[in-house]
Amino acid sequence: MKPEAVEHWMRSRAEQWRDLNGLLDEQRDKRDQDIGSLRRLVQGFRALARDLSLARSALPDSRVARYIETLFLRTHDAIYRKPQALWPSLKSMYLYEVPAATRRLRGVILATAGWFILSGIAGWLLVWFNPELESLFASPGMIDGVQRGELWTDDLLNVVPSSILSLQLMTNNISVSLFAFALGAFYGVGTIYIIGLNGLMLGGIFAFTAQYGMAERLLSFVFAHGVVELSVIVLAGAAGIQLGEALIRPGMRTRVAAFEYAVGEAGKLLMLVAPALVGAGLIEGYVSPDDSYSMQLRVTIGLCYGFLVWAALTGRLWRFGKGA
Amino acid sequence: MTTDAQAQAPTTPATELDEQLTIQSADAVELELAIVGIGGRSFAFIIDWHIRFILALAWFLGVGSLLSVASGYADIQKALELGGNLFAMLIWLPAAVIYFLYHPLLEMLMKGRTPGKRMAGIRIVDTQGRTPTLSALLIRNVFRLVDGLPAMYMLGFCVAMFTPRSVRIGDLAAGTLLVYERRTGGDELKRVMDISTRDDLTPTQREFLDDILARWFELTEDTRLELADRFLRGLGDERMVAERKNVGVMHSYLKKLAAGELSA
Repeated sequence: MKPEAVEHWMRSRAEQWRDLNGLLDEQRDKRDQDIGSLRRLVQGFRALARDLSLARSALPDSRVARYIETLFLRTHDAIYRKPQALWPSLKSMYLYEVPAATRRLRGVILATAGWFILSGIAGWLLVWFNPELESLFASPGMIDGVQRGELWTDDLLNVVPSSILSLQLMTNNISVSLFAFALGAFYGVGTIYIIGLNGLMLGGIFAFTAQYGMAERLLSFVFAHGVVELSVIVLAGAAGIQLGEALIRPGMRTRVAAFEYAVGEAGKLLMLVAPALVGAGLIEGYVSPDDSYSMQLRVTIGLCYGFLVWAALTGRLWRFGKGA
Repeated sequence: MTTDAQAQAPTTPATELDEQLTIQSADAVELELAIVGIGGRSFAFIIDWHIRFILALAWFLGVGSLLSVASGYADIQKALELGGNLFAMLIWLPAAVIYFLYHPLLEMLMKGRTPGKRMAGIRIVDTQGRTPTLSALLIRNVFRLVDGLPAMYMLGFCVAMFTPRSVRIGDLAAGTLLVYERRTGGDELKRVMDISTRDDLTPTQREFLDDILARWFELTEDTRLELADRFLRGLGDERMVAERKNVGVMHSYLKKLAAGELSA
């Protein structure tokens, strides 16, 4: 193409490129677009495809061609990107995708729960038959307190107010769950370790308090929030183990593709894990350390909240009253 | 916020050394994006790390001092010791939120960018070259927990060194990668027009001149002079021969040439 022809062509097109660029900026900054500007965007995109073809053949590897390529890519992204409608996506996630993922992962969830229970039993037996191992599970301060007949959860509210306690517990539980999930990237071994360790700790601590006749007091503290908290740890663990499974047995996919797919599928469980832990944190901060709640009330709260979370997980909560 | 690095980044063309992400548009047009390597990734991370650290520290010191003074404590340490949990939460929690939620929040709000990535001229895209979805960005950030092990993103760094597209575990999980971003704003169009419509310089010469000026302050003095001399000899420009060892004079001469104030 002769230089004069290039100049003429560019000058004739520059205004439209500028216009298209402005439309893209506008589209990035504004959520609601009028139909006129969207139509201009689509028309501009078609014209740009012709410009790109011309620039590539007449001016290959030139700055003009690169500029048009970049503008084309931006316009393509604006037109073809997936819609990001937050509320409809969340609704679809909780109503359909989380229950479907739970059904698909039922086997892994059961296996993870089994592993957690086995680790808990192992922790119990370890401390019950070897009381000197209690220091593996409890700090010296906790041991001294229990030997004096005081549980470390007693007077918790005198040390930390409920609101702050809830926040600390939520943060801690959410990070443990996310860790249990993400460590699945190590072929599932990291998750198996985290779940096993948590089970061992729980069993060991109960055996330790049982030796001093205080297991019932600990159970009374744990029950209200524990049903959901432990369920959630198992769920996050199941999601993590699924990642390991995808890496070990990728099937027809490549390992990376299988891993990415498993993250997308199993990760859906985490969408329920985080809100469930917010509720569990509130119960643990306000109900569990408060002596005015009776054991019956704690059991009721724990079971009801557990039922609610599992009903949401399986989708039964949303079908309630619809006859399905 | 516009910096030199930001202004120059769009002009950086993909070189043969850059790995390319080839994508096919819905209209069967094939396009290539230059994938960011370990260097660009680390550069952006270091900038972001400093920004979030400074912001968190500013909150801690600024709000901590204000609260201490307002409550009659001598300093922040005393306020933290004697002010109770509420005080500690007011000072620590927002600082922690700024530090830990900086990446996920900004990547979602800025569509795959952060201030550090903008300065490095890079952004996150999915494997189709599109802006990633919110869930992909969330997943990418959840896996920071693993990439950050055992400390300072060592695992993520090692994985990025050995994966074909220089991605960390979070990117593998979310199906994302980092690419160099080219801009199309007003200045870039003007520059393209200048290059392609000047009759005293060929587009290649104009592009070369533009690149020398864009990278001027990144180059050593000797390289600046050598490139300027090579460019002018290529043009057959015999003016300023005596001044070709003077960096300042050469810079302003090239700038005038680029602006069209002197004809080549």
